[in-house]
Amino acid sequence: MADKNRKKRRRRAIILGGLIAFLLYGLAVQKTDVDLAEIQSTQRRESLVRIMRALAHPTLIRYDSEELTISADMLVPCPDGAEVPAVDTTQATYLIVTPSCADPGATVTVEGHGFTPNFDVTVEFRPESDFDITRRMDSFTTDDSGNFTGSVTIPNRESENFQQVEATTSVRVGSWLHRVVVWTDANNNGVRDEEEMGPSGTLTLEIPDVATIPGAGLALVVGDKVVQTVTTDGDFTAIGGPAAGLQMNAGVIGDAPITIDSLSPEGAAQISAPAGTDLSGAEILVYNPVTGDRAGIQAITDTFELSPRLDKNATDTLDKIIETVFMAFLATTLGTFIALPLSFMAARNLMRDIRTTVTNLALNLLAIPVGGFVGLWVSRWARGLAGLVGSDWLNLLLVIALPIALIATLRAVLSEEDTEAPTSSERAIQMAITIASGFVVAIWTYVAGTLLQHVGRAIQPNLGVFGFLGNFIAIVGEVARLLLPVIAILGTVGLMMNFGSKIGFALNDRMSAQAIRSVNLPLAAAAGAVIAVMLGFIVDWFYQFGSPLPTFWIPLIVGALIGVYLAARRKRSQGVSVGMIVYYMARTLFNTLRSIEPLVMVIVFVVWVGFGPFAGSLALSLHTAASLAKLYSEQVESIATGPIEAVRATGATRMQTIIYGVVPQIVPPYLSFTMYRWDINVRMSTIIGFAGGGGIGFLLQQNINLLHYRDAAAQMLAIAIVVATMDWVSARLRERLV
Amino acid sequence: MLKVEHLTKIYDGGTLALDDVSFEVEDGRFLAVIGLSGSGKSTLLRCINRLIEPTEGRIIWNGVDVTSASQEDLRRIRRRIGMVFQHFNLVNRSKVTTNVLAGRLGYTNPAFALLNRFSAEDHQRARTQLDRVGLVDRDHHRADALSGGQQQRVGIARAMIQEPEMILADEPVASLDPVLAHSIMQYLEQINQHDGVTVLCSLHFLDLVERYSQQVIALNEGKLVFQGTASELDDEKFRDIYGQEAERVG
Repeated sequence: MADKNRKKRRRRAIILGGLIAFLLYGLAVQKTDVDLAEIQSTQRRESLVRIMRALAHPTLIRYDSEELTISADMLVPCPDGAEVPAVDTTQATYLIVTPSCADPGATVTVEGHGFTPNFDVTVEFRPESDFDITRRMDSFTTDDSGNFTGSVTIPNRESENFQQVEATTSVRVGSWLHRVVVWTDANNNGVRDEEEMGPSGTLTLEIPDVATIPGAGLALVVGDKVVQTVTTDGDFTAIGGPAAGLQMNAGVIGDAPITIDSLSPEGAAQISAPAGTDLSGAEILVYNPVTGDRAGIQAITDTFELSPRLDKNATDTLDKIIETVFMAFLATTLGTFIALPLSFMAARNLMRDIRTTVTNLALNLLAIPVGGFVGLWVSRWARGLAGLVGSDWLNLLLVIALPIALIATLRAVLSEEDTEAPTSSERAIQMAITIASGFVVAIWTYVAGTLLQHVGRAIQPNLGVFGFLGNFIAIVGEVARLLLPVIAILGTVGLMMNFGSKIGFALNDRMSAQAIRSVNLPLAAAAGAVIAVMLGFIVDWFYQFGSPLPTFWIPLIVGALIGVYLAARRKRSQGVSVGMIVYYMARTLFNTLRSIEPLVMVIVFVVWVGFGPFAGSLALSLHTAASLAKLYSEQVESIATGPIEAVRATGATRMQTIIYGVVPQIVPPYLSFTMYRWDINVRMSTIIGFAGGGGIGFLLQQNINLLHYRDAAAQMLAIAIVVATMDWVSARLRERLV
Repeated sequence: MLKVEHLTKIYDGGTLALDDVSFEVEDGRFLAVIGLSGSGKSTLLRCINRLIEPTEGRIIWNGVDVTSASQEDLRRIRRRIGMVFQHFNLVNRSKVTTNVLAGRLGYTNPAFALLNRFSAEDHQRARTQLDRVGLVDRDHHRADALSGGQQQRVGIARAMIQEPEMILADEPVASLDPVLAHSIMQYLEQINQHDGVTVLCSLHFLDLVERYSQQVIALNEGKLVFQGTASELDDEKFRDIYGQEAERVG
C-alpha cells in the first residue's frame, strides 16, 4: 500500500517537475528573445561570415601594397578579316580575353594567370580616349594558384584601334625573407630625404600651413620635447590654447644641436643640424597664433619602413597585454597581503572558542577609540621627530642604528625563555618596553620611508633603462610613510586591547561576582555609547545630517542603554563569544565586497585616482582580498584539528598555535588559491579596461566600438594566449608545490 | 599528586560525558583508564589539562586548582603536562624536529612566536629526545614520511621535551599493531620508571593494562565504575565495565 502511494507521489512529482520545467524554459526563451528567423536570414548570415572571417584575421603584420595592372588588347566591334592581338604568355602575369574581338554588349571571357593567390582583381575597360579614364566591369577573386576566369560585358565604345581590358590588383610589397624598404614622403617635399641630416647640414621644408595662417608659430619638437619656437617675424607668443604653455628647451638631439634658421612667410623653413644627425621622430608643429591651437604637424624627414613589419596594432597589443599581466600581478600580491591576516578571522574553527567576559569586552571596545586616537598621535609625533632630521646621511645612520639598538635592548630585557609568572613590576617594565619599541618602530618606518624616497629619486635618472627601479624604491618609501598612521593606529589599538584584557582578568580574579556586576554596567554603557557614536560618525559622514541630535546624542543614549541591557542579561559564567561576532562581521564584509564586480569597483577607483591601470589594480586588489580571504578561511576550517589540539596542549598561546599548528597545514592550499587567483585576475584585468581601469580591455573596447574587428581580434588572441599560458603555468606550479 | 573531585562534563548538545568522577593519583604512578569507546576516557584526560572545559568539579594538581587557573597560569600548568594522542597529532607537513620543538612552545616567550625560532638549548633538547626514541637520524624528514610507530615515537619525544611531571596518553597504541604497541608502551613505562613521570594512559587491551599499569580506573557512560589495581579486575568487575555480554580477549 505504502509502496503504491510512493509510486503515485513520485509520478505526481515527475509530472509537476515537468510542468515547472516547461514553464521555466518557456519564460527563458521569451525573456532572452530567442529568434530563429534572425539566425536563418541571409543578411545576418553574411554578417556572421564577415565578422568571423575578420576575427580569424587578427591585424598583426602590416604589408605595404602596390597596385599592379595587367592589360590585354581587344577590338570592338569585330572588324572584317579580324586581326587577332597577340598575347605574351611568357610573362609571369598575363591576361587573355576570348574572343579578342566582340560587339558592344557582347559577353567575353577574361582569364588571368599568375596573380597573387586569393586576392581581389578588378577588371576594367579602357576605351580609346584622350583622357585617363576606365570603366569598371566586374571584380573577381583569384584561386589558390593565382588564376581567375570570369565573364564581362563589353561596353558600347566602338573604335577601329585596339582598346584595352585591364586587370588591377594590389600586390604586397616584400616578404618576411626579403623585407623591402618603403618610403613615405612624410614632409611632403616630393624628395626622398634620408632619416639622417644630409652632408650639407641644412634642409629646406615647405610648411604649407604657415602660408594660410598669418603669423603662425612653429614649434620644433624632438620626441616629446619642444626644442625651439619661431614665427615669420620673430617672437611667438600665443594667448591661449596648448601653445601658451610651450616651454623652450635646449635644441639638441642626442648631443647634436638642431635649429630652425629661417622661416619665410610662404612657409619655407630652413633647418640645420650637423651632418649625419638622426632626425627620425623630429617634428614641426604649427600653431595658430590667435587661438594657440595646433594647426598642423609636419615630419622633418621622410619615413622609411620595412614591409612587411609588425603592425602598430600588434605592438600596442603587446604593450597593453604586458600592462595587463602586471596589473594582475600587483593586484594579486596586494590582495593576498590583505587577505592573509583577515582569513583567520573568518575561520569558524579558530574563532569559535574565543570567549571573553563582559568586563573584558567592554574594556576592549573602549580601547578602540582610545587606541586609534593615541595611534594617530604617535604617528604624528614620530613624523614630527623624524622630520627634524634634515640630512640623508643622518637618516641612513638612524635606519641602521635604530633596529640594532632595539634588538640589543630587547635581547637584554626580554628572555627567550618564558619562565615563572612575572611580578607586577616586571609586567610594568615589559609594558614600557613594548610601548617604547612601538615608538622606535614608528620613527624608523618614517625615517626609512623618507630615505628610500630620496635615494630612489636620486638614482632614478642615473639608472638608464632601469630607472623604473629607482621609481619603485621611491614608491616603496612613500607607501611606508603613508601607511605609518594606519600601522600605528592598528598597533596601538591592539596594544590597548591587550592592556584592557589584562585589567579585565585582574578585576575578574580579585572581585566578587556582585562587584563585577556593578562594574560591568557602567563599563558596558560606556562601551555601547562609544561604539554607537562611532557608527553615528560614519552615518553622518555619508549623509551629512549636520545636526548632532541624530548622529551623536541619540546613538549615545541608545548605545549606552543597549550596553547596559546586554551586560545585565549575561551571566558571569556565560561570557560573550567575541570570536563568533568577529567571524560574522568578517564574513559579511567579505561577502559584500565579493558580490561587487571589480568592473563596478573600478568606477569608484577611477574617480579617485584617475583612468588607467592603477585604478584597475586597486579595484582588483580589493576584490581579490575579499575572495581570497573567504577561500583561505574555508581552507583553515577544513584543516586537521589533531595537531592544533596537540600544540595547544603544550601550553602554546593562541598566536603560537596558529603559527605552529595551523600555518604549516594551510601553506599548500594558500599557494594554490593565490595562483588560481592570479589566473582569474589576468582574465578580469582584460575586461577591467572597459570601465577605464587600464590594461588591454580599453584597446579591445575601442576597436570593437569602431568596428575594427580585425584589430580587436589581435587583442582577443593576446588574451587567449596569456590566459592559456597562465593556466598552464599555474597548474604546473601547483603540481610542484602542493 | 593529582586530585580529581566530582568532575562532570556536559557537552553543548546535552551529552553527559563525565558524571561526578572523583579519584586520586600519587606522583610517579602509572594509571590506566579503561572503558568502552565513548565511555568518557578521552574527555577525562582532556579535562585534566583543560583542552576541554569541565562543566563542574575541580582538578587539583600539586595543590593548584587547574579548573580555575587564568589563561596565563593554565599555560604554565599545561607545559608541565605532556600529551600523547591516538592519532599522533603531528603536523604532517612539518619536519620531525619542528614537531618535537613544538613541545617547547609553552616555555618560549610568546613575543618571539612570529620569528619562528627556538634557542640552541631547545634544539639540543630535541636531539636528545629524538635520540632517546631512536629517530635522531630522521630529524629532517617530514612527519608524514614516517611510519605509524615512528610517528608515535615523535609524539612521545614532543611530550618529553616539555620536561613534564605528568603525561596524558590518550589511547597511544590503539592505531598501531600489537608488536609496535608494546614498543610504545615500553617507552611510556621507561618514562614512568626512569624519570618518575606520572602517566595517565587510556587503554583498550587488558593485557597491556595488566602488564604496565600500577593503578586502574574504569569508566562506563561517564561514571567511575572501578578503581583499584589490574589484579583486582575479576570477571564480575569486567562485566560491570564492559557490559554483560562482553567476553575477554587477549
